[in-house]
Amino acid sequence: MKTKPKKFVSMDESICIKCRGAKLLCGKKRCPVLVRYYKSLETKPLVEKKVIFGSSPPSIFVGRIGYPNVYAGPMLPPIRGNTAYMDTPELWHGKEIDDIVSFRMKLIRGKHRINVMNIKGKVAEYTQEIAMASKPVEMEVEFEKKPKGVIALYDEIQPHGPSAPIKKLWISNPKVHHKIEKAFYDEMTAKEAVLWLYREGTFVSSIQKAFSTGIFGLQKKFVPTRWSITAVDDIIGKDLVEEVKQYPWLNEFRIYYTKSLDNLWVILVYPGAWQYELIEAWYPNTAWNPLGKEIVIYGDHEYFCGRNDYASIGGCYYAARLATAEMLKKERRQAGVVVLREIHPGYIMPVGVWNVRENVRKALQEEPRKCDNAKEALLFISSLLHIPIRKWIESSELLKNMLYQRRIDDYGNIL
Amino acid sequence: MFQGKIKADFIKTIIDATAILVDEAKFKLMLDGVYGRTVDPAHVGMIDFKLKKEAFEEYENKEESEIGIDLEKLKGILKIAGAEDIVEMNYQKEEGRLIVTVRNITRKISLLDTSEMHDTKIPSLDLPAEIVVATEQIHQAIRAAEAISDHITLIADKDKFEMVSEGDTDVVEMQIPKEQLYSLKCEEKVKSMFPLDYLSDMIKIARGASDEITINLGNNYPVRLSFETAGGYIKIVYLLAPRIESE
Repeated sequence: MKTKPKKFVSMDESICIKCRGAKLLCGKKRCPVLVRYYKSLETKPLVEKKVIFGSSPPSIFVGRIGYPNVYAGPMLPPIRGNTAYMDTPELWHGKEIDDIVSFRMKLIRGKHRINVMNIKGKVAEYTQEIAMASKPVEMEVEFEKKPKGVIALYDEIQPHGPSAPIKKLWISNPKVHHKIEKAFYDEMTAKEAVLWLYREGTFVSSIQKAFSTGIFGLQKKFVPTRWSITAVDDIIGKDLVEEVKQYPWLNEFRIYYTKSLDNLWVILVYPGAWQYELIEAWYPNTAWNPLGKEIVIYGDHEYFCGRNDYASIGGCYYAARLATAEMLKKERRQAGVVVLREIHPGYIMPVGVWNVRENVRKALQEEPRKCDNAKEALLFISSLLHIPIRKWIESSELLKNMLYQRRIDDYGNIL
Repeated sequence: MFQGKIKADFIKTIIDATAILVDEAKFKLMLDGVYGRTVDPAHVGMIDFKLKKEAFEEYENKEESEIGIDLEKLKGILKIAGAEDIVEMNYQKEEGRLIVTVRNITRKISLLDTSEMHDTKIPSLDLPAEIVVATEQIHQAIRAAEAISDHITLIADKDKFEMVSEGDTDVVEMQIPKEQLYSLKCEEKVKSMFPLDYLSDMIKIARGASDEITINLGNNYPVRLSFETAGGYIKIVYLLAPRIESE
């Protein structure tokens, strides 16, 4: 109910889904799942040169290994011109995995070891300038050696291409994003800056890049890309939820749905106080259920008072929460939301949590199916999903709560 | 103008009892005491309390009014008071603030606009069974149940009261025969299931306030929990909606 949510009972515990290559729960030195993908993609590197000239979309990357001494730097393709789409997930809806991989592989990551608290030196400052740019930035990078690898995959970050340490770097004068620049110079906390930029209509992905390079806050510091993505989703989501909690209840059941990258998204929005759940069902042979023989269902939820701990399914929880709260805020309504995600076998590799944020957003822009009661809503949902609805109900704290928990007003007028 | 002096323990009981359900609440300052009635955001739990003027050391109120309180703020100042300390409260309508004094420390608490805070009504419930039982026993059963489940079933029959909680694999049960209850009025067996987290919070408050609690129970129906303290001058009633799985 309203207290802190409990861990999920999954149909079949799979450590891969909890770990997603990030925590190495299996005890191996490298994630075998990721290694498998790397192997399948091993071909001749795209770049055979030590000097690359191109337009950064703009794009930057801050690693997390060795924190607080991490690798940071810009990413650029060996292509000049309008490369903005390469690092703007807001524009990727409708693209296939192959399309995304093929242009992301072209982004070469420059690495430079920095201490996150110390934003000094040319590379750190240039990285910051690139993150503040509103248009692609022409630049030239000389690497210490030829960039290695073909593609780098992560659970929450979109993939990128080969990487190498930076030797020298030159950038043309970037066209500055004026609002991000204002957030940099004004006395704002990081949270205030994120919320202000979001309200001003800045892309979440641009805010995340700026957040990562220490542009915000009273004490500026670099933040690993992976953490900054979730931090920004969480800050914005929380703020939206606080507002949504003030609005009257929605008075109908709605079902939104969409399909993308062989992921099926079904979102149930129902009358009640704010509560939210994301449940994912990973089919065998999908990115994070590579070895299992059964579908693994795993999820997390929050009631009106929110969570006290980090969601065990990770960044996707916060990405989908942002998208759902955004819709409710727009409608000035409060509701319960359950996001159901079926990951079918065509989803062969992780592409980052933008996939969750943007597809939930996309689904919520479509015209929903409206129903008068829970039974009708669940009947319609079961016509969309491949997994039987009773399996979902078994795995879902909130669906059970919606179906079984009565309210005092079911027994007489209270207001 | 309202002015009252009360034992810290008493006012803390009221505030804590309300705060398990909501962050903000509307209190009515009446001529004969302070009343409050609030439902939680999910409409699953409700509190209805009466803090009679006799529970106060001093009570002076010329005109009925209502105030909206951010409970965290009030808790903040009450934190510094020992159970036996006297808390002084003052409310001036013109100022829109509640002035709370503990020993020589004063906090002026700005109040919330009550125009948007609904008046809560109590639905009339027909609850056939009434059990009066030791709060401590209920508390123990809930503690045992919390380890295995999220809900608990209350069952009353002619000759006993039971609490049963089923987890995925384990079951916790408590049976109290009629002789060990303060009283039991029940003609036919009744049974309802409730969310444990709400019930647990409510019973914790009851346990802190009183040795006995009255439970009014029906069949797949809300439960009414009532108890009193301060010599009967503080009365707290909780309503909790059931969980009904068989459909």
